[in-house]
Amino acid sequence: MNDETTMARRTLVKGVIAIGSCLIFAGVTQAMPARAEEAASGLVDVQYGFMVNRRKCVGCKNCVAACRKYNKLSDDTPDRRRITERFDSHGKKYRVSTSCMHCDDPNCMRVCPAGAISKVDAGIVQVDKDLCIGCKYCFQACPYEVPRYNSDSMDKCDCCLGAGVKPGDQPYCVSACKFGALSYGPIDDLVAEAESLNHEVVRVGDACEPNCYITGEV
Amino acid sequence: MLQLVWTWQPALYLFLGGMGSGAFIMATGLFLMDKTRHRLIVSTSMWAAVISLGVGLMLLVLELINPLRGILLWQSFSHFTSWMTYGAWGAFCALVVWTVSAFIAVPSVNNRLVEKWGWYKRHGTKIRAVLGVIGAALAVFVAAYTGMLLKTAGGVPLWDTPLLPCLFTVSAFDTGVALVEVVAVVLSKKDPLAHHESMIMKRIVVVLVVLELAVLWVFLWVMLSANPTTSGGQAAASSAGLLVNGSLSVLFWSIVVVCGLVIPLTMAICGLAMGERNTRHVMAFGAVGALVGGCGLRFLILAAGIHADVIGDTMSNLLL
Ligand code: SF4
Ligand code: SF4
Ligand code: SF4
Repeated sequence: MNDETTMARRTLVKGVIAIGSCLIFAGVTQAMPARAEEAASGLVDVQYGFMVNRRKCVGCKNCVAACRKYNKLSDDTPDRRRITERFDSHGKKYRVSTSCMHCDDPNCMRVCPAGAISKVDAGIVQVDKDLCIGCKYCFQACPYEVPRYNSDSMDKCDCCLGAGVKPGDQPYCVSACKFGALSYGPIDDLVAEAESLNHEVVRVGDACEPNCYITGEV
Repeated sequence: MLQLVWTWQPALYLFLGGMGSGAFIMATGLFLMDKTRHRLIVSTSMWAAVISLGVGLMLLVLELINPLRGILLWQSFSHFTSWMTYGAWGAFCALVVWTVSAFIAVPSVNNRLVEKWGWYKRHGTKIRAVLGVIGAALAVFVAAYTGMLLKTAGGVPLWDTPLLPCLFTVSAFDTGVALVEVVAVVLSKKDPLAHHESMIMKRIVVVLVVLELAVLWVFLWVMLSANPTTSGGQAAASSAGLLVNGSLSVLFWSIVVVCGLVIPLTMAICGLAMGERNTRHVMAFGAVGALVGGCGLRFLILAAGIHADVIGDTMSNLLL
């Protein structure tokens, strides 16, 4: 191997390392201000969330239907709420109805390249359909498989903001449940209330710090 | 149950982007090793890299729900907390630099530039080397990014490991070398690959395949032994199980392991052992195996990327 070749290879390696690390550094420093801005905007003052009661839900799907109706979901839009069923050791069936958890630290918002997802008043995580390009990265990012897609954009629960409900007011699913299986409110209050009644209270998971808890009278 | 939200377009893009990156780096390497030889192989390989990445990006854009909005890069890729944003800009820059490099690497273009332009006659080779190095750096970024995109998604346990970008980067390099080998075999009449470079490429293949086998083994081992008491751990283990002994296992073992790793490794070793003899067929066979295997790897890793059933598992734990 001649000297020129060695030199050229060394230059290549050095160049690759230098430029690679510049790109990564630029990435890290660029990403930080964006986060800081969100935190400083003070939008997320009181975080609202859902409390779902596994002992009260009968699986009637009124919540799913009310959500579809009042949010005027098109036929090609999947349901925003889903019922999960599980059996206990005696074979008794329990259900919970869940939608977006309006997480404290939403992965969906972090990965969206278009900045189409934001956390707005009452901590509601909302998608701006005019910015969404439909890359479906948010589906891969959400630990709860919440984002779904129609022919227009991503679609998910926005606590009925799009249907005209004000931030913090009761969404249509909650009003539609005749069995009292769904509650919506400042999440800390809901948790404190259930705990004070000695009810079980379990967060639906840890990832992204979801604002949805399962409860049930003990 | 398989992951079906991202299907063949993203899978093919991850493959084409990686392969293009590897090919550009190998072509630049060939150019830097000997700036006067292999002019046709270098330029054709660079064009092959440009076409791979270009076609991959096009597939990705067409897969979007709103492709037209998607091509407004500055608007739709403006949120720098997302690796997709870095990837889009990185791939865009790579495409520009690679295209310029590929263009001036074309022998007739280069000859004309040298004839007509005194300055280029003196500095042309240096310019090409600098562009090659910048292009190679961008290629390293694009190759690693294809894995980072999956790693940083965060909702899929199988992908949520730094081993995935490592695996995809190594695989990108080895499919890239394979693409240059295919180019060299096709052009062997017009621009025969010198023995020295041919031996270097075979050694590179051996090193990359051994490295890839090691990374793949550790990756699967980590996933299979993930903590089974958490939803994420269970999902990671079932995903890896799909590949190792589940519904994707036949494809995984035959395409990824045998075609993509065992065949290229065997062929490279045979080629090295054959020394000065004509190794064209051996090289072609190994390279095609590597390309098929590398493509299969992206498809299978995507398909096996299932979510954990966090809500169901929380319920089950409650009801125990
Ligand atoms: S549940 Fe999923 S979609 Fe909803 S805020 Fe959390 S990460 Fe985003
Ligand atoms: S599908 Fe839309 S909302 Fe989801 S990450 Fe892509 S651009 Fe953002
Ligand atoms: S309306 Fe109430 S009871 Fe019926 S499925 Fe929904 S949460 Fe359950």
